[in-house]
Amino acid sequence: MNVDLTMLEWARAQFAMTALFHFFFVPFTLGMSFIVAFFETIYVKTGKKEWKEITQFWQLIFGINFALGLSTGIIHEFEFGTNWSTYSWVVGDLFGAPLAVEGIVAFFMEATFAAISFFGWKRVSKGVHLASTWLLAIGSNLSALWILIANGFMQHPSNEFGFFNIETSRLEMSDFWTLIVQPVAQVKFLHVVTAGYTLASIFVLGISALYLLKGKHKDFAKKSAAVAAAFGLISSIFVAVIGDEHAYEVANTQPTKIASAEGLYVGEKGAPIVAIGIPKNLKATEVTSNEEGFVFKIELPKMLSLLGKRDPNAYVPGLKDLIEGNEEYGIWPLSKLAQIGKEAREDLFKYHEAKKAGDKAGMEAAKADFYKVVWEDKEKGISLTKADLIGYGYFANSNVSPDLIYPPVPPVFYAFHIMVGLGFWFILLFFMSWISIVKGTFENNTLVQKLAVISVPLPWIATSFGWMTAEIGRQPWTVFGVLPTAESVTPIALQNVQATFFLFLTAFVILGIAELKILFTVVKSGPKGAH
Amino acid sequence: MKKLITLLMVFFGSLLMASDKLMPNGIDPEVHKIDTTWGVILFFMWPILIIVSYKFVEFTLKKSGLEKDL
Amino acid sequence: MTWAPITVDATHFYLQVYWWIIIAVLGGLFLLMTFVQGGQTLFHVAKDEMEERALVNSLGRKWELTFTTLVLFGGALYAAFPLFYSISFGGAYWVWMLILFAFVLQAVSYEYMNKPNNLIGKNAYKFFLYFNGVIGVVLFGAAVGTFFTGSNFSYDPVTRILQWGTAPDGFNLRGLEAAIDFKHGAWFNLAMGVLLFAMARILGALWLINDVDNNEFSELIERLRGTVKRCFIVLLVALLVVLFGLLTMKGYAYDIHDPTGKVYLEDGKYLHNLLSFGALPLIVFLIGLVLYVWGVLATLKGSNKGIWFSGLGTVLIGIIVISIAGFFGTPFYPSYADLQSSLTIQNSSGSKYALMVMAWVSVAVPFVLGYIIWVWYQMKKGGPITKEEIQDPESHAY
Repeated sequence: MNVDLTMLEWARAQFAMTALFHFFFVPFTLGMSFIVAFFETIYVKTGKKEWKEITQFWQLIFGINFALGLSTGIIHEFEFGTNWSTYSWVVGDLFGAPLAVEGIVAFFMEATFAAISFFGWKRVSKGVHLASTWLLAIGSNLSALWILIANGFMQHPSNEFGFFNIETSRLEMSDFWTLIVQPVAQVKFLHVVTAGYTLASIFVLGISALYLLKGKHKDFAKKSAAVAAAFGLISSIFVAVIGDEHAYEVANTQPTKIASAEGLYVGEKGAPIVAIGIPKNLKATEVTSNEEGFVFKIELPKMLSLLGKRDPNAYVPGLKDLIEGNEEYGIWPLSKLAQIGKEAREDLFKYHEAKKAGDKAGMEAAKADFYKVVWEDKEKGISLTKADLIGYGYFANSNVSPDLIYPPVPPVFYAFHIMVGLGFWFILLFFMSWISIVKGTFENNTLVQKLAVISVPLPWIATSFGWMTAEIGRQPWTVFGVLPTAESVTPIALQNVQATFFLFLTAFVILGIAELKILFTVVKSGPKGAH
Repeated sequence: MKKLITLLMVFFGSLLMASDKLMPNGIDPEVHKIDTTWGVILFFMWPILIIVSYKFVEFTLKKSGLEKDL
Repeated sequence: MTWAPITVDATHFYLQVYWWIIIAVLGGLFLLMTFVQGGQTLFHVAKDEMEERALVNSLGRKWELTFTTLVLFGGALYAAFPLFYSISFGGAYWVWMLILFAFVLQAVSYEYMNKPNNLIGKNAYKFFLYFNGVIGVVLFGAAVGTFFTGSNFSYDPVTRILQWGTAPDGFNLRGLEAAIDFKHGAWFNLAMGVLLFAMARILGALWLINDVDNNEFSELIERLRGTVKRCFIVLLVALLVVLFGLLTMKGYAYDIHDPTGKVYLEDGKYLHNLLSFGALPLIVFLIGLVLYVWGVLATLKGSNKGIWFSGLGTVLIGIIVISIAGFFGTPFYPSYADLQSSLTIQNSSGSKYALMVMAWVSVAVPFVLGYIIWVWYQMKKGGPITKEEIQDPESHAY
């Protein structure tokens, strides 16, 4: 298929823009919904009015974000169809199912109980209201679960739950349970929701610290800060621990992503992690050693092998190995994978030509070759057929450079490292805050208060960069190893995509500024003048 | 807290080690083979985490003296 | 390009039918929930600040449910009929993008319009709500219209190349041609859009008459009754056009037992569909219509319970309209550019396995409907929306 590459870039930019904008609000909703539920539980348990005030103030802020998160979420569902229609065609059978389940089990829970939680303070009993607030939190987190199961499929489309059907010329589901519980998806879910908890906790902690610095709403701020610091401390530690597990899954399912994130061009045993560095934008095919890849770097030896493979001396493949192959470790050159993918594509055409001609024998022959096993590990009971490698056929096109098999190194490297760095800072911040809260010195500890206030925007940077690591890092694929991004896009004239891009950009700028202004106004007027 | 960390260490420690030989596309065969049990365990960490967090919030409020009536 | 039905497997076929029923039910429920969109276009009926806030607060508690129903309607189509999703959304690009845009703007408007410092002012958010209520609903209706009149596309199932605008005598505005190409049924699509809009607006008024305190806001209620009357005339005209079209139009047809799935044109196809199955679709359709009209007439006579009758009627009408578009050997997304590219529930569905899994998941639907109704009841039993509640600082009122 001939794709207008400029249009492809615009379609990608549009999706990236809407996804990032959406992802400003999502983690906040994930975390804030539970924080509000915590506050309300304390209110119901103690029956004290000040806790109700605290609950309602943070719920108001939650509501302002919730609306924008919800509205920007629907964009993606539509965009999968409008801008990525070929993608929807090829993987809809697998990808559509979690989305539909998300609608049935999560969205309605979210929307229905949000109505009670927001408007039902005087219309239902305390118990029903509290249950609704919890169900709203659980519902919004469950919607994250299902969309991340769908995303997990894009990151690791194993042939254990899906296969390419030659008859319908698309991927089809073969095992829903495995799709749901595959660790890649579950780890992603935990990493994203706990990042959301951390983000919301920092927000509450920071705003509370701001009130204390200004000497306003002291009792309100101290109590809010205590809850936020406790939740944040556990979440930020968990996000790091599960982040390590996430990195392990990525390292073993998406070797190009981890190699790009660490600027590892030549694979090695006992591979290091670059703690700090400035990577160059190089072509892996032209690099001969890992030293060339950086302007300067500080390494932690053997750490990548340890974290990625759980063995300090394990081999981690580099970008060059993934293009040129490495016989010692069983990696094939890209050209060989591309050739097999090309043959699979030819079989697909032969099959349908034969079908049109009514040639049964021809169909059988093409089908047999299409599903021919090209690699297998009998001991572990896994295999790859030509059909599994059909995506690599894209690289058999003479105008597709093998250097396109991995994402650009600098953006993935920076996004990943800044995210990790910020993650460690959050743990430290929560630890300091928590200690001083328990000791009763938080109220007068202006240093920690100032650090908390300054840190408020940081988790948004961390979550956005995390998302970029995951999504830019997966390039050039939409479905890793199966469907190239260039073959996912809707064939449509460039102007349409540009027009909708600016339409959304305008709306986002206006709505984003409006939401910030409203938010600042509410924060400024504080809990008493909130309503 | 310590218990939680120890529990997590046990979980992660029990993980499979990576293989020497990779698949043709560089993926590790151990991970390609989907471990559904591990996936289910991972999922249930979520409600546990929420419960532990809430308990820790109560503990913090009591310990700091901000709310004694919990 | 020919594209035979994927299968003659009976189980797969029944699953496809089952999923089309679910789509029809969701579509019907969505039409009911468009009372929010309809109500949004009635702000000018309110004469003072308090009346307007009564409107916002009544609708503002329900918009999320409409929104979610639309999302699920889309999600279910995606999961059950992915090929339709790909072709219709990717092809009729501008129709769906504008519907989408209208809904994005709506979502924040309730929350932001009455908050201080909202950047663009209350009237801008009001405009967004009108935009959503008019453009969103009319376009959605027109999109449903193309289920009967057809669209301008062809595709190749092997290379997965979609071509939009291939008809030699058609226009190509990426979907918007459905509203201007009168040779290919634009009149029907537009009538469908107007019909949906009038239906939604009446439902909106009926809902407000029911949900806002009738004593405190008696003048507003009277004015809303006037709106119902006027919209009802528009509705009758649009309905006549749509019915005329349905009964006389050449319809797209195929034989569900034909392994090649060849699509052809048939005179009076949709009339035949209404009369199939012992005329059951026609009977249900008429029951829906009678309920709807009953609700309207009762309201005009002074009742405030009209929404429940008209609402149920809307659901039934919606279910039948979508059913006859896809059942009885009818391609639900026909192509006038290339008959054989038309999409049927058989050639555009998900795999048997996926449909089966999803069918099991759909067991949760009655449960979900159950708690929605329970919550709705919980929120409603406290009585209608009063001035006191709107002014209460603790009630999260808009």
